[in-house]
Amino acid sequence: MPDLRIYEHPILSFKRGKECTFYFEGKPVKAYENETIAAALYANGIKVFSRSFKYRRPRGFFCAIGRCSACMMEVNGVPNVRTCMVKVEEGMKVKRQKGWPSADTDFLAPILARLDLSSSAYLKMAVKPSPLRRAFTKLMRVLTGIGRVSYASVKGFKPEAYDVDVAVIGGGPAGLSAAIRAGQLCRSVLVMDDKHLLGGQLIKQTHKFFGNVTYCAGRRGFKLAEEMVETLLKLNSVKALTSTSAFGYYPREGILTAVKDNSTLVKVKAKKFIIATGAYERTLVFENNDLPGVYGAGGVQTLMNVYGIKPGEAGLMVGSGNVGLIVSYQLMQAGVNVKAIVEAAPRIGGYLVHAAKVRRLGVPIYTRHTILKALGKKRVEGAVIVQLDERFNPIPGTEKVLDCDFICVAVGLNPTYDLIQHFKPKMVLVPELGGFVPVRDVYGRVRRDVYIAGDCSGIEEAATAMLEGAIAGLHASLSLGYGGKAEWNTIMELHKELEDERSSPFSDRVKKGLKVVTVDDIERVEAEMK
Amino acid sequence: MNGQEYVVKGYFTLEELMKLNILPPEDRVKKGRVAVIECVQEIPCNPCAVVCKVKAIMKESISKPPRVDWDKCVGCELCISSCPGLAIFCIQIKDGKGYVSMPYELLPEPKVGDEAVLLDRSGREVGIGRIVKALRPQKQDPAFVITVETPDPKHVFEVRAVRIIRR
Repeated sequence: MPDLRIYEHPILSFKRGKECTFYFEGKPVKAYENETIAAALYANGIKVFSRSFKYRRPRGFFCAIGRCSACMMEVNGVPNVRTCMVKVEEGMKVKRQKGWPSADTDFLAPILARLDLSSSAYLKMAVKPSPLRRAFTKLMRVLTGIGRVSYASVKGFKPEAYDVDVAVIGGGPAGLSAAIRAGQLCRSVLVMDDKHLLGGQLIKQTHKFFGNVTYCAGRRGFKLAEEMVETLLKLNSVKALTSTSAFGYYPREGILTAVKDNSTLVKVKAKKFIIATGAYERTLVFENNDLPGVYGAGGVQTLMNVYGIKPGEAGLMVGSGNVGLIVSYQLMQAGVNVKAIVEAAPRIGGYLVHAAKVRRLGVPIYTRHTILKALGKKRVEGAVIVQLDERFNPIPGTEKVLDCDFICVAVGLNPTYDLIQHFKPKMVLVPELGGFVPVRDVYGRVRRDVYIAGDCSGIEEAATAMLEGAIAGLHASLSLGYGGKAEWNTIMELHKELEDERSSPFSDRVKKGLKVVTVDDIERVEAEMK
Repeated sequence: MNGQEYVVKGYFTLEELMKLNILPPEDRVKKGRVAVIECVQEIPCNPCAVVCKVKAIMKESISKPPRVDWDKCVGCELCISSCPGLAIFCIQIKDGKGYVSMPYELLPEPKVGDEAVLLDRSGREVGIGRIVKALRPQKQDPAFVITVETPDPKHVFEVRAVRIIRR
């Protein structure tokens, strides 16, 4: 088996932990204890993780942070485990759920590919009579490979309950700063994150941050994450739960529910909630955009910078925003060849300094170009790019084939608004902020007792997320009667810093969006919603 | 694009840099090492101005691009590793040879005496140089600042990256 692990890196040293062996469809696979199942499989050259529902097309991972569900497998008898979120354990038994006889070769796929099924085809099949429908539904469950829960495999059902001053959902830059500030003032703070590591997306940021030296400028994201986690865990008032996914809020009982380690129910009562659930990656429509090898730029960053695994040997980057440019540079640092960066707009989206870094190493940036299709059957073997006219239509005859074994899609992020919606804030669609976001006041309050901070309140960057988190954490504590004048002054300073961070023309769009959703009196909005 | 060709190409041409008054005059470069900051966009950022001991780097406000006072600059190279955008270089012409100091965050690890392919802002190979200095200026950070020597003094205005040749 090939080994895609990176053993030498100019910036990072990987803490892989002890070597261990787990079993993938009966075969032993070499892994390290700090790797997730998905990362270990990928390192060993396994790229097909599942099959799609309808046409049973091969699927690989996309996001690597538990959002896309393309990596779900059966782990120790439990189906639908997101393998990018679960660490490997010695002797673990992992198998893919979909495909017959296996996910690698599916005999039904070529037949289904020939059928032109409408979008609701399966729903309309065998509707009547009802016994037939029941049998058909059962068959469909088997065919789609959703799996079957064996109750024996569930470890037991002991709920955990917490009653705290402040509960912070999300352990990324916003959540961590909120929890630190609240933890320094309040009696009890709970912070939870669905990953096994705290730090959110900071842990994969290897570049130095722009900004003010007083805050975090000039330092690398993963270093900042390490420092923040250390500060947080030193606070006696703080309890941190990892591998814990919040999945609901029940307003009548005032209880937030979460599941820990895929087995334990967690019930949280809190006087103040701070929601910092971050964002998830968008994708782009093009032919074969679901082939294993088409990844989110953030997914590639996770694989490469957190687990030290190369996504491939040569890649194409779609999108020239800061993420696209930064990840291209990081790919080169990991020893991966970047064939080109394509950008549909007539100009480069990100900062020129980031573009200059990759250009001077010889990576071409094609503006007014896009990807037309990915080539390959079971994995990406190439890509076709094409020039666009003024109206963003492909110009025939300008197609170019690039030889690459993966494609990175860096076309922006959407705020993760699922959880905040349980608190029933007023939601507004604001394209400038990336999607649906709640109306809030300047402290991030979306209701009297609920705050929002970071990317889930509008797509920006880590520096602003940390400031927003700090403001929310301080304000939540103050309104519970902790702290005093000094904290109000800090909030003022942080607001000033936020304004500075947003003072460049690159932030004009965000500022326009924020104007739409920021109100003076959030309690009035709350009253109107009733 | 009103003359801003660089936002399409992703790098500056010499003419653009001249027009923007970013490159120091040749006389100054012959006098001694001097910083060149190739950063023109309004990014809220200030490490370069904070790190400069002689206050040669000025910023009107945090989001305005920095300017270098070439008379004040002593070529100490502190700003190179401070810049998050890897956009600061130091250049010098001495005894008919050119010297470019730049940030280096790639593999292989640079060593004094290494030969390196010299690349200009567009990634074009313009010649072969030699690494005469390779330092890790910041504690707890593995990134290098290297100085390459080039036989052509004109290169100090062009060379902005290297590809180290491993024997």
